[in-house]
Amino acid sequence: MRKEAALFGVLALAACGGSLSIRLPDGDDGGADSGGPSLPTPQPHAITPGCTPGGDGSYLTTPYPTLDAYCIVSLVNGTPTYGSGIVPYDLNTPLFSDYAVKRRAVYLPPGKTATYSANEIFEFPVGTVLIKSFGFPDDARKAAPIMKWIETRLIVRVEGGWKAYAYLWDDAQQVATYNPGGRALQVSWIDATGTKKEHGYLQPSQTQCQQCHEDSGTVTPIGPKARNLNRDFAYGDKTENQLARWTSAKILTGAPSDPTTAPKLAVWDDVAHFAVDQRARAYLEVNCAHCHDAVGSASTSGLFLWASETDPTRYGVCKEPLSAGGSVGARTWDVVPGDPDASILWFRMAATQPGIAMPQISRDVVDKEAVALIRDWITGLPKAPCNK
Amino acid sequence: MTSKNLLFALLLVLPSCSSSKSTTPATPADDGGTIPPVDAGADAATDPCAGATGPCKVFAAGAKESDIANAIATATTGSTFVFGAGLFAFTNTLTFTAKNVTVMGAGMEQTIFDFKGLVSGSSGTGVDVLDGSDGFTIKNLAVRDTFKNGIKVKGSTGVTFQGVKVSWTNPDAKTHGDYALYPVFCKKVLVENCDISGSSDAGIYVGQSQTIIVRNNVSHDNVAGIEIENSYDAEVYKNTAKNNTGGLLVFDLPGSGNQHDGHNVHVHDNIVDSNNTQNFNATGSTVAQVPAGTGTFVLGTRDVEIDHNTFTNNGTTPFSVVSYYVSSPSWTQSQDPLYHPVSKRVYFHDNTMTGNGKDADLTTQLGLLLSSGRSVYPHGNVPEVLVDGISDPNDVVPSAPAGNPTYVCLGNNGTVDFANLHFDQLKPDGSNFAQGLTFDATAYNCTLPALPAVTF
Repeated sequence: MRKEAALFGVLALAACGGSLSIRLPDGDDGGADSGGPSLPTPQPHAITPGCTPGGDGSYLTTPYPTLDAYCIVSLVNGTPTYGSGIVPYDLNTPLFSDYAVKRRAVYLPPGKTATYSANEIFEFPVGTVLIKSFGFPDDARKAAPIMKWIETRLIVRVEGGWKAYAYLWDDAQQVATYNPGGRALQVSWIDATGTKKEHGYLQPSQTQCQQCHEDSGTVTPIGPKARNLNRDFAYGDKTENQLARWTSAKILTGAPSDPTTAPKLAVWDDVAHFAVDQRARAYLEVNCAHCHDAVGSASTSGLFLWASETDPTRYGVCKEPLSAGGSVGARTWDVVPGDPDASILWFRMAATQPGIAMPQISRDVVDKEAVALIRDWITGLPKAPCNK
Repeated sequence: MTSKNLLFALLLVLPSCSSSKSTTPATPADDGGTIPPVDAGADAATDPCAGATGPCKVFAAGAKESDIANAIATATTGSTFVFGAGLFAFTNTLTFTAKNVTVMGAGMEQTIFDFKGLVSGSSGTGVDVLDGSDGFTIKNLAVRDTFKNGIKVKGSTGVTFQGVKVSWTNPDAKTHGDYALYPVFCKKVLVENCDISGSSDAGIYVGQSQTIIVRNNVSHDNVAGIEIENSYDAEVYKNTAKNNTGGLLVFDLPGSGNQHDGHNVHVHDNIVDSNNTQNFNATGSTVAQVPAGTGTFVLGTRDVEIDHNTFTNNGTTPFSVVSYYVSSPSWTQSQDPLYHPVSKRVYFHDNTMTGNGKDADLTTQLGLLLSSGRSVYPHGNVPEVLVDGISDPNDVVPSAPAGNPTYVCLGNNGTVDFANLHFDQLKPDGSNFAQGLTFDATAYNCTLPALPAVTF
């Protein structure tokens, strides 16, 4: 069972059975790591003293050349560490990124607040930065694995919309440099079962980010919706519901005072609390619906995968693909109830060849646990033949 | 509605009798872009950015992929990217989002974008142009060996492909990508002077788009040469579609997220020749059902004019007007209330048809069925013009001639045979096919208003 680490810090990560990694042969600059783990240099402070979060503010027009200029995040003892007032968060069901460990946080300019929405992305003020760092452990069996952070992506709220910027960490884990063109990398790590993993990891290009992060051509965040944020988080002082915390931290207004009345997305791998159908639909929403909806980059597929979609045809049941081309593996229907092997949706999630694999971007390895979940879900749908 | 499931069983017990696969190389299209070829960096006297009104970047062969990728990822409105002669190999998809971007090479035989090194985690597409990238132009270069699509453009207004070549080098055609040129959900689409070959789906595929010109292209050795799907206001002319499985296809499919009701498609002055390549689409998709030897069909589309084309040596059927039920006999309207499965108001006139229908593809259900009528066909061959005989009682066409409820008009196509296949009366096992055929085209002797030229 895989579980993206829900907590903040290496020990907590290990306790969650997080999948971790190290050694990052660099694809382009001949800077391939020669082998052993490179320990990050311990730093006394997360952020350079005297540096104000947001830097000089010019990031609203031009991304800073290096991540440190934002004064919002740095690596301390191998852990993303944030400046004051920056709130880390986690999601009920995250996007799968080749088993990378992810750390998320949000920065809002001082005195500014986001406005709650029950169903949509919150309305964030100009200057907001969503911060997400991606890394792998050297050995996920360790209680405190050594993390190798690959990249930190920022989604910045500017006048009139959002911008996406990606920063690539150096081998020494000291400096993250703006890298808009993306890069094809290789990662090597040991998973929780002791199996050595070596696979590709594509840092997407800045424009490629938009393939997922877009609605009708404009950049849009995916994660920070009420239903995906509505969960507990272990903050430094106490464990607390994130919507409540955002409200008390005065970065969110309008949220229900009782979080149990807010929407809540299923936790895709929480077998104890959610049914297979809820977990599968949640996984499909988070991993697919940002493209597979009426305004996403896969709108022309007619396959719409929000968990709230109630029309079975729209979420694939006995639906023929419109223009999937040769990617369907001699299958005819997106989802054949009761028959995962005949279902294109399952087939493409289990594939790795570019052009067949879904999701399309930045997935080199199969999310085995999720493929098993989708298999269970399709198997459990009332068996019925699809007719042409 | 009829079902042909039993025909499929019949197919399984018959030996494979493939129709001839042509290997004749196609004539390359003229490299007719409006910008003269440049050899970036080779001649200081020539400014490769001449004519560019915005930021312009020049890349010579050997340029680092990371430099190209960074430039493209940060492109601003009106940017021009000029690539010199030579090979440019990429490990990731080139993704564009800015408006009024131009990507140009030194000619389709000179500048080659090679994508066989695309990594997993790229989309598998070579050039990917995302929603809202209005005014995108790509010209005078070749795209080679993508896993999936050659060049995809989605949701953009003003899209131009000029003098682009797309091909695959693997001799095993089943490994080839899907669509070579793939504008979808776009407006004001121009595809001209392109040379497209080897797609395992459609070479030139215009889907869910409006206001479209496709002209002076050669599309050959694909499963489908040119497809106009779920689109309207399209003019397709002076193209050559040859040696594909199906040549030039006009159709609508149900379940479209964005656009139904394809109409106003004008197909004229094209050459549709020898589209007899065995279908190499190894999937369960709709295009995999197209029999080799298919010239042109209109499926589920209304207001289509097809004139002054030349159809030669298409072995199964050069031209047919059919409904979606031909490929999906059990489809029901409740599956997509907005979709119209029956083609209506199709005007087929002044076409030249020779040497067609002589070698039906017996590896497909439809080819087998058509071949089974050979004993009763007027001249032994599959008639040049076919209609499936299916009409929709809930979708009556006003003013349709008696005996011609879908208003298909035929005129001045020389001496050609006609058959109504009467699929509306076909038994599931197809056993009454030959008895149901009618060959009298009198009810189809009519005219429809000419479609206006497409301009933008």
